[in-house]
This record gives sequence, C-alpha cells and structure tokens, in this order.
Amino acid sequence: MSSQPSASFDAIVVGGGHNGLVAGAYLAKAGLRTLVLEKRATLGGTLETRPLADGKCAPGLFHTVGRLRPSVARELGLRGHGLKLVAPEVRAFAPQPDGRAVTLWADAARTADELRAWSRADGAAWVEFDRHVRALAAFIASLNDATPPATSGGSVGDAITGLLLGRAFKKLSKDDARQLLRILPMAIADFVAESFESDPVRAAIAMRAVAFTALGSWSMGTTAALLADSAGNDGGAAGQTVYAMGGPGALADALAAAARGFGAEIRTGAEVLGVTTADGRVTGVTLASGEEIAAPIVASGLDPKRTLLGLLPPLELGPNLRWRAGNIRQPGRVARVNLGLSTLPVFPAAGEPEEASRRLRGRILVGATGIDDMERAFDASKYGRVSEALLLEATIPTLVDPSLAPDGGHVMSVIAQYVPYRLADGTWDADAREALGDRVVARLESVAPGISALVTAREVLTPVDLEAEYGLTGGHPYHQEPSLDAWFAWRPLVGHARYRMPVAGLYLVGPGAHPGGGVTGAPAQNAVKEILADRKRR
Amino acid sequence: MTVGTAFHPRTAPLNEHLQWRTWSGFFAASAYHDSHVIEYNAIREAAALIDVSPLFKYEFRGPDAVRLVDRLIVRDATKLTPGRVFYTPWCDEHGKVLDDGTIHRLDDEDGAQVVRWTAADPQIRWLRMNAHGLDVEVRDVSESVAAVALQGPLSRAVLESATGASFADLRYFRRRRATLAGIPIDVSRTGYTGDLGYELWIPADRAVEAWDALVAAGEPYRVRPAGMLALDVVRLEAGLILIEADYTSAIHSHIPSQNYSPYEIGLGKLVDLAAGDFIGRRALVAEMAAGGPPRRLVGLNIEWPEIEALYAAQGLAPYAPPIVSRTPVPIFAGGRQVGRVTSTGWSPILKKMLGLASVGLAHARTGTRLAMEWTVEARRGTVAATVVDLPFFDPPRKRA
Repeated sequence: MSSQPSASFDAIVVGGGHNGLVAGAYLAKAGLRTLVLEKRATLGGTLETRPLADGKCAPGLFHTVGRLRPSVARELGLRGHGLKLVAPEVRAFAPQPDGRAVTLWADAARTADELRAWSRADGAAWVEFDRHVRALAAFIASLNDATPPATSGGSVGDAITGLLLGRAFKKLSKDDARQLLRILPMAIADFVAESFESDPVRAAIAMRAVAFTALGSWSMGTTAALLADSAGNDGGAAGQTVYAMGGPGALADALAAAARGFGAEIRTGAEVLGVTTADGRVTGVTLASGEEIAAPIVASGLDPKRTLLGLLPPLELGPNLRWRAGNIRQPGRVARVNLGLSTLPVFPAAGEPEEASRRLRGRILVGATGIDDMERAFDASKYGRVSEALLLEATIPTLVDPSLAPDGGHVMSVIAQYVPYRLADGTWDADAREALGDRVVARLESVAPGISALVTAREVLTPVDLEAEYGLTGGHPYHQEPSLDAWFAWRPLVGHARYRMPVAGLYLVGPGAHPGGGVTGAPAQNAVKEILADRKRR
Repeated sequence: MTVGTAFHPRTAPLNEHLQWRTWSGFFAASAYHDSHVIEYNAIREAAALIDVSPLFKYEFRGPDAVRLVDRLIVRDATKLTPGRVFYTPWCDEHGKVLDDGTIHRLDDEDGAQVVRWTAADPQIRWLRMNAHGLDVEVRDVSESVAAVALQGPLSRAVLESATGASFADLRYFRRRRATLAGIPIDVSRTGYTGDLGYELWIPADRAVEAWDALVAAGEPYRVRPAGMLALDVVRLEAGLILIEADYTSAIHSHIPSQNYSPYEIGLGKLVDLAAGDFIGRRALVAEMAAGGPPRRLVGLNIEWPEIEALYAAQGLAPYAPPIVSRTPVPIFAGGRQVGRVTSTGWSPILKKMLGLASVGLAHARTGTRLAMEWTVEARRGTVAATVVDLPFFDPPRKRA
C-alpha cells in the first residue's frame, strides 16, 4: 500500500479461468479499462486442451461444454471468435457387465425406444420424465439468472427478483409446482426410482447428479444437483454432451479473444498475491513479482476460500467471517485420466463398429450399473479410500474432432468419480498416482477388453494435482460443494451471496458464487451486472 | 462445580463466615472478616492480599505475539515494549467492547515475544481466531498461573520485605520478574483499587508458599486478606468499570442497546484510531465521524442530604449501605429518564455516596445535575446527583 502502483485500471480480474475471462470480457464490453491476471502460462484454467506425451491433445478438467450459457456465447460473439460446438446425437452410453447398455439419445423418442429393451414401463416413462426434468430445470434456470436476494434488509432489487421468481414459479404446471419443494432435497436414488424400475437405467440417469460432488446416489440434495446440471441448456434428463472443436481450450481461446476484442488487457504468468485495501475499500492487487496495480474493482475468479483467506488481509476479513470462510466445504472427489490410444477401443456393448462409433461419441458411463453400486463407490471415498469400482465418465473426443490426434489414433478423457483428496493411507505420491491410473484402466477393461494394450500415453491428475494445477482448493472442480446449504442465497456464505465480498469493490465471479460450478460463464455474467450496478450507484 | 483457587488451602481457613461467591468457577471470598469494612481499611490504610487467580489468563508466545495484540486492542500495541503493561478494552468487528483487561509484555525468551493477557471472560477462541496467519502460540494459563493483588499504601513495603528487593523504580503500569521465597514470580504495578499496589503472578503449584511468605512479611504492616465486597468499594472509588455491571460484553448482549463502544464506557481516551488497524477500528472511525455514541459513562456524586431527607420523611434514621449495589437504577433530567446508574455505593474515605452511570451525551458534562431514583422502605423517590470527573479518589501514591 506504500509503494506507487505501476499502472491503474478500472477493474482487475484475478484468474483467467473461463469465468475470469467472461467477467473480463463483460467488464471491457461495458467500457471499463480491464486487466485480467492469470498465474499460469495459459488461459482458461480448468477449461484447457492439454498435450499428451504421444503428441495428442486431451481436455484438462471438463471435457464437455454444453452447459455454457447461450446468452454468454451470443453476447460475447464467441462464434465470431472461432468457437465451434458439436453436439452428437448420443448423450450418454452406459455399458453393462452383461454386454448390454443403456443409451440416452438427444432424441427422447429414440431413448424411449431403447429403454423398452430394459423394461416396457421404463420406456414408457422416459418422455414424461424428460419433460418433468426440463420443466423443473427451467425454474432453476430462472433462479440461476437472478442475483440471489439479500438475506437481510431487502431492496427494490430484491422485490423485482422476487417478482421474477414468482413469475417463473407460475410457469410451472400446478403439479410440477406442488412437487418442486419435495423434489429439490431428494436423493437422486429416490427421484429416479419414482419413474424407472431398471437399476442400470436409474444409475445412468443418476450419474450426473453426483458428478464432481462428494455426494452419493443416496445423499440428500442430489436431485437438485441433477436439475442444476440440466438448467439453462438443452440437456434434459439425458444431460448435455457438447464438444468444443479443438478441445475445451478452444472455448477459452474464444473467450480470451472476445475479452481482448472488447479492449481488455490479459496477462499470463502474473500471480496475484493479495488484494490491497484502504479504509475498507479495494485499492488494487499485489503481484508475486512485487508489482502493485491499482483498481477500485477487483473481481476474483478464484474459489471463495482462496479469495477470502488468501487474498484479503486478515483484519479486513475479520475473525468471524474468516472462521466461516474456513468452513466452506471443498471436498474434491474427482481425478482425471487422459489416455492416448493407438486405435478406437472395442466396447462390445456398443455393437458393430459403425454403430459403436455413433454410441461412443457421447459420455461413456462406466459403473452406472445400479444405484447401490454408485453409493458403494462413494462410501470408500468417505473414508479416504479409492473404490475398486470407481464411477467413470469417459469421452472419446477424437470421434468428433480428429484434430486432437493429428497423427491418427484416439484420445480418451476420463473423469474418475470418488477419488478422495486425502488418502486414509499414504499420500498422493507418484506410486499412488500411477496405481490410480492402473485402476482406472482396469475399470475400462471391464467394458472395453483390450484397451490397456492400446494406450500410447497416459496422464493422471489426482485431486491434489488438480489443486496444484488449477488452484482449486481441496481439488474441487466446482470451487465449493454444490449442496443445498451452499446454493442460491447461501452460496458461498449466507450474507455474501450477491457477488459482493466483505470489502467494498471486491467481487466473487467464479463458481463459488451463485449459480455454481461447471462450464457456464453464469456466475461471472451475473456478477458483472452487480459490479456495473454498484458502479452506477457510486 | 466450583473449585478452590491455588491459594484456597490458605484462604479457606481465613474465611471466618464461609462467605464465598463463585467467580469464573472458583471460590472467591466475599469477605474474610466479620465486616468487609476492615478489609477496605486495609486496602486504603495499610496493605491487603486479594486473590485474583480466577481472572482468565492467556500467554502469547512467538515472533508475532505483539502483532496479535495489535490486531486485537484499541491501543497502539507497538508501544507495548517488554516490561510495560497496557490496560485496554478490545472490540468485535462492530467496534463493540468484548472485554477489558491488562496486557503484560513479558521479557522476550529465545527470541520470541511473550505476552500475558488477562480477561474477565473466556477469550481463547477469539484470540486464536485472530491469530490466523501469525506466528504465535496462544495458551490458556488460567489454572497454571495464580495471581494475588497486594494493594494499599504499605504494599511496597510488604513486597520489598518479602522479596528483599527494591520496587521504588517499578513505575505505574510496568512489570518485572522477581523472586519471592525462592519462587520465580512476575510483579506488575497494577491493580483494581486505584491505590498503590502490585499484582503478583505466581506458578500455581507454588502459590501456597508464596502466600505464606507474603503473610509473614506483611505481619508487621498488618496486611490482611480482602474479599470481593471490599474490592468493589475501592474500584468504585477509583472509577474503574466492572463488566456485566457497568457494561455488557458484546458476547452477552441480547439487544443492540446492550452493546457498548469504548467511547461509551469511559475508555475512549485509550482508543488510538490513527495507529494501525485493529478489530473494530473501522466501526469506531464511523462512530466518531457520525458524532460519537449517544451515551457516556459518568461519575455521580449523589447528594447525601437528599437521601437523608427520604429517610426522614418516613421517620427513619439515614442508612448508607456499606456494599456497592450493582442493580441498575433509572436517572432523570427534567422528569425524563436519561440513563441508568449501574454501580452505587458509599465511599468511607470520601464520605460520599458515589455512582457510575451511563447517561445521554447531553447530560454527561461535568456539573450537570440529574435526579436519580432512590427507594426507601419500598417507596420510590428521587435524589439529586451531580456529574463529577472520574476517578472519585485518586491518591498521588497510586502513581508515585
């Protein structure tokens, strides 16, 4: 605070992850002199296309981008900046040990047809279930668009929010509206059981409800997580499966290009050590290089714990809020495994080669064999162990985007669910990391025999690696557990859900803020509206 | 369950009428003798031993011990050099007082700063919450450190006799190490009496030996044990506030008006808004920018002749209760209540009825005449009370 800042901006965005880039783009679009600071050499954070050792490229953390909020893509002109999205006709493919599979298609009628092979009743239930999920998710989407109301005080803005929410609620059918409050806190196991009788069908649907969480299929609130995943996109009950051509990093590139196009300055290799303050107001940031940059607005794309405990001077935060922030739950439970493959692996459950290549374009769900199987995989992680029967969500992006394997072959991207951040026995050293990789490949062998012989390159990122690589405290891809107690007006903390952090001028724009995690750009888009509103008020 | 302090083996037999009260879970003598007045006289005329072991005591140790103090207290802790003692309140984030006590900078050990922090209420969670990011260990030493206050005009003579060392150079609110009967102790020139006096900080396992040494050395000076009733009278004379009587800790407040800023309890002069940040500073800056809080602590001289008149009106002889009342009583100006008297009691040395009161700012100026409720034989009346400067009793020997 003593030395003279080297430069000054209207707004500084800390973190060049996708939400940071969205915030930077919107702030610059509004005419603010904006600087985005990224610690890593590349932009996009978890939204990254990483090189594999065999020359192929694979996604960093997220491998599908179908939850990107359409208005973000439109308003930032991402298509003009080279973003090309591809949505295959298949959404999810869940091979079973008996050689059969549950396949969920974009076309609900087609899904219904296939589900009849499992149960006539399940086939008959699909279309109504999909409608039900879409209707409830549409209501969640309208919550997601709004800044949560103040939990104390209350203003004209809150009244308007209430009005909008009331209108969204009225759009629900009488029955859906009556059911909403019952359904949100439900365990996904119970929710799918109300419509389907086949365990593999239930599990294939339920996978998205626990993705990236430390929740099991029998945990309360997982239905809300499923609806949140379907909110604001075309996912419905099957969920979205959309690829960015060139890998997820291409979306980051388009966001960066958009931000620069609006005049934002973006610096990589610039680690922010702290936010500087004076008299309870943000004055700028200090970089690891010692450089100080002044700005009256700092928008943090970092997770809330890192933002509050890491960036703010302790006296600015105060002991009580520090205590509360210290209790924010970030139990990372996913690991990433990327495989370079010499050829397309054979999944017997996917049928003949031509049919198989169609079915394998979606999310391949390994371990979606039954609701209790999912819960058991979760159980092990509660006690710091890695289940032998991990749940995997795999994609083979090269089926739709061969450019990721320029010399031929394929890439498989695997999100391994229920890998604990802290191991009960030992730590995440090289041996543990490779053992995890072996376990994931062995799990894939159970549905794609012979796959291990095809592996030409392998990269394993444990939750601890994800924390180190992407700055995710606890290794949590959503920055904060998406449980109902950390949702809407309670995210990240009661009293601080409106993007404004306790020091004037400091905002949270990452997924630790409403409406939460995933590749949406939504928290940043919402937050910038509040930043601009505050700026007008001053 | 109430337990004895480290001095209990000695104080228990002295407590002739078993007049105990509980202080933070410890037995504390209300009075040892037939009347506490003789104990009061010892404090003001000779010397007295007051067991203050039930105080909460914490020790900070580490390179950032003083930085932690600086985060917490309203004063500039960078001036708390080894050997100094600060009396200070500390606040929550809203600038409301949590507690008040003395903070002692002990001698550095192995390059680490060492601080003794005393408090009326438990503070360990608050202290540790605020130590985030600092290299300091905070320990509760309430039970391992015994404390006895040696107070009164002859206290220095007793202390020097007991330790064989001169304390002429230990100034007011300073401390230093000493040896008492072979026991390493810490002596601070502090107390809750407004008189010449010391507080002795003693390893609890040697408290009884230390007591015996003090009693033996004090015998020629007629040193006496004194209890809480006598202490209450001298602290009122000294204008020293008492938590939960003259103000409520922000921890225990149930309604906004039970929260007090330092400016409302007579401790505003200690607040240093210019010297670095501390918990609550911003709120206090805002409070002062808005003109300061609307109420202040004042001393009252309650007109004795008017009290006499209330007794006379009922055909009774006047009576001055010898015990300080902590029952809050309304106080009026022009027939409207403007505050409350929180501590009321007779000062034997000043021959005056004294009160500590919280009144509206408009009525806080010295010389303002107010009317305080006074009840005789269950009949309410009012008596005149004049705002006077604090402390009521301030002998030069306190600082000499």
